[in-house]
Amino acid sequence: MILQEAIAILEAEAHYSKAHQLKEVIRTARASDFMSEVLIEDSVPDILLTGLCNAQVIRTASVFGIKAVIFVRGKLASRQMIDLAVQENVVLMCTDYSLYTSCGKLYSHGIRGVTEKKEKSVSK
Amino acid sequence: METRFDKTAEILFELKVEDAMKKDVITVGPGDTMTMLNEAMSKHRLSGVPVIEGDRLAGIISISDLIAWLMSGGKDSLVKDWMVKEPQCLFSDQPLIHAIKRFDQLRFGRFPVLDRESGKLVGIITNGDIILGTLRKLEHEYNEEEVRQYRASHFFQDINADRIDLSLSFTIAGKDFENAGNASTTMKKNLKRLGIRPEIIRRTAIASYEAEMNMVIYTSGGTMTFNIDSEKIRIVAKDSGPGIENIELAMQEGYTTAEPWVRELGFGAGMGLPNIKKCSDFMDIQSTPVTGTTVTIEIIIGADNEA
Repeated sequence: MILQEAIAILEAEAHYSKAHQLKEVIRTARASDFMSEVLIEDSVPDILLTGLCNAQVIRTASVFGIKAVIFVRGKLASRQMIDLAVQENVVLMCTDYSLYTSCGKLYSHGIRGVTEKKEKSVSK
Repeated sequence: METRFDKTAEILFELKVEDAMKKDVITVGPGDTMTMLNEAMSKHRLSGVPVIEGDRLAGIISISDLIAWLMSGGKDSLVKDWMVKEPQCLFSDQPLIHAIKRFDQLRFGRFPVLDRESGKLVGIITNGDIILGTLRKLEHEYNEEEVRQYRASHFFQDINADRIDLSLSFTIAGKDFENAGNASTTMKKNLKRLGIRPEIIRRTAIASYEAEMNMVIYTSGGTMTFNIDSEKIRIVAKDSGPGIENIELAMQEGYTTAEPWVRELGFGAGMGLPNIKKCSDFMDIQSTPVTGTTVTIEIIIGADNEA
């Protein structure tokens, strides 16, 4: 799907996005409140869902090359965070859904986890 | 190819309601008479006026309400009897595209704009304001375009010397979590301008960011120096203490001495140093309690055709 569809599915409010970014194809997602865990992964998710709401989430996304950050549970981005997202060119949006529900909605529309293959091979 | 239309759509996402709204708003009180409103509206050529009670928005009254009053005979009556109560509002930090959607959905002539946190009226926005705001921004972007044409992407090819070594330094403040990572994201942009391959930029940015976060979280600050030549990027992160007690232990995944506040902010999982090692081609840590810690990281740039 494209990012715009994900925004619609999550009924999210985009705080920052450019037209061309909304048309970016997204396939994978990661949900975590631990930025250092996100950063050590080999593969880069297209979007990051998190309940953590601070400037480091946006910097992590920028450094790692994640296209969009979604704050769940109605967390509001501060003005500084929105400015940072503009500066770092990271799409920033908020949804009222919980982390669990947001992930479930996206998964049911075909968005998969980045580490899914690895997880599969570990389980029998 | 990006068309002019894409550019406009992009601006609508980029601009906030507050960038286009009118900020000096003429308001009336609920206890004002309709005659006063009539005079204010014709004097300032207004089509709608927010009604303010104390510092809260009590309603909105528009020219159609005024006409209804006139049609009913224009007898003495108060604004509060004719205004629309609890009007639909926009927040000043919402993207302009959101405002356009609301105009389209509700077919209103105007929206009062509130500050999200305080709930106070900060402006008013009409369709005309949106068009004006967009045009202003387009003009501004057009003027900036020429400046942006400049890119240093052929820096190493354009500059002639036997050896080029570009050195960039940043001062890192300890415990300043809000600005932590700024040096690394700035360097990421610098490397892009220098035309370094994306994969190399990514590894450099991650290693640098982890080192920078460590410095902010655990030390009282220091410096980060990036040396770039045609072969490699070398990062030297030097702080003034307290030093790492057991480097071998610190290099293990999951080992951490982080305090709870660090973990609450999403860091301190004991992944930082291992991740730096993973992203770099060379890594060295020197640490004593007296001199502090110096982390040296090298990332080989490699030739363009080697990917």
